Amino acid sequence: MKLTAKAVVFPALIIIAFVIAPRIAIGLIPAGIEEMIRMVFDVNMVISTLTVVGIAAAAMSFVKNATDSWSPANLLAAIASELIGLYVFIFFIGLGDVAGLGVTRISIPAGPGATMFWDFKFFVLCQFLICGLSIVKESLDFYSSRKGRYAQPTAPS
Amino acid sequence: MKRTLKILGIGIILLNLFLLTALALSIFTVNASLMGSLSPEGGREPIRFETTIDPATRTTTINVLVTGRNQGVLDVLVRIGVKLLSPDGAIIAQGSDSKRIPAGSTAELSVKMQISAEDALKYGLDSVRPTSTFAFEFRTFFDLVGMSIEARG
Repeated sequence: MKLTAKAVVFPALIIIAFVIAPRIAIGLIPAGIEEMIRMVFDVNMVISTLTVVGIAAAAMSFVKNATDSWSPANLLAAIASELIGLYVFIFFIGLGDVAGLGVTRISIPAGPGATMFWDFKFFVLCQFLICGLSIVKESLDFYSSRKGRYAQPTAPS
Repeated sequence: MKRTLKILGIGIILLNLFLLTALALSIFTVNASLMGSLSPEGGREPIRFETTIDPATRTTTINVLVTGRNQGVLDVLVRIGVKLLSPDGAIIAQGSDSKRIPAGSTAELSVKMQISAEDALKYGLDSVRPTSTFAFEFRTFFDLVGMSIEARG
């Protein structure tokens, strides 16, 4: 394990983006708008989910940047980072509803009552494909680095 | 191997950028079309009703008119569905219409429903006003992305 600048800066940025920024942002929203948001979303659930995801992503980023590319820990951290990225995408696109996989239903209680549906299934499917490709790339990267590290030096002819 | 990995990495980045751009344009188009279609313009209500009664048959024809406005950057498929409900929730009449609207254009959508004199008597519409439910659907990006709203009027 080596403590590089990347291993400190990237996790710190992730913590700022996922843990600190949402807490500051919710404090800056005017009370009226915050009340409207709370009618539609469970803000506390969103902030706690982002905190857990942010800490997990920061930990994976630290392991990925502090280990060599031939290390199994590096591969596992890279795969976990891709899966966390996929989860975050579905979480945001589903406005907090991950189980809907891109199809979100929001009840608007104001007035006579209305229900809104968002359908982003296509983008979620594409993100699954990208996540799969990224995992394949990370695995090939790992095997290539490992092969290079354990390659026998050839005798000079 | 290194070259293949580099190409794969660049491909993943380009695919991500393309999808994020398509997502942003789709969200913008659907929201702009929804706001454009459901906002009153020039003193006209976004949803207009025209009711006519045939003096011979006493059949009531209700025409629901909506002006679909695509203020986005991609083509939009707009669908509207209207249901007239009796006070106990039974469907008296229903209809739907859909139009594909190019970016920056408008189109009139119209749903025509007929209620016969017998149905009007059966559901007691001479004394009670029926309620209606509206469904608006906006689809864009090759109809792969959509947003719909169902409301009771």
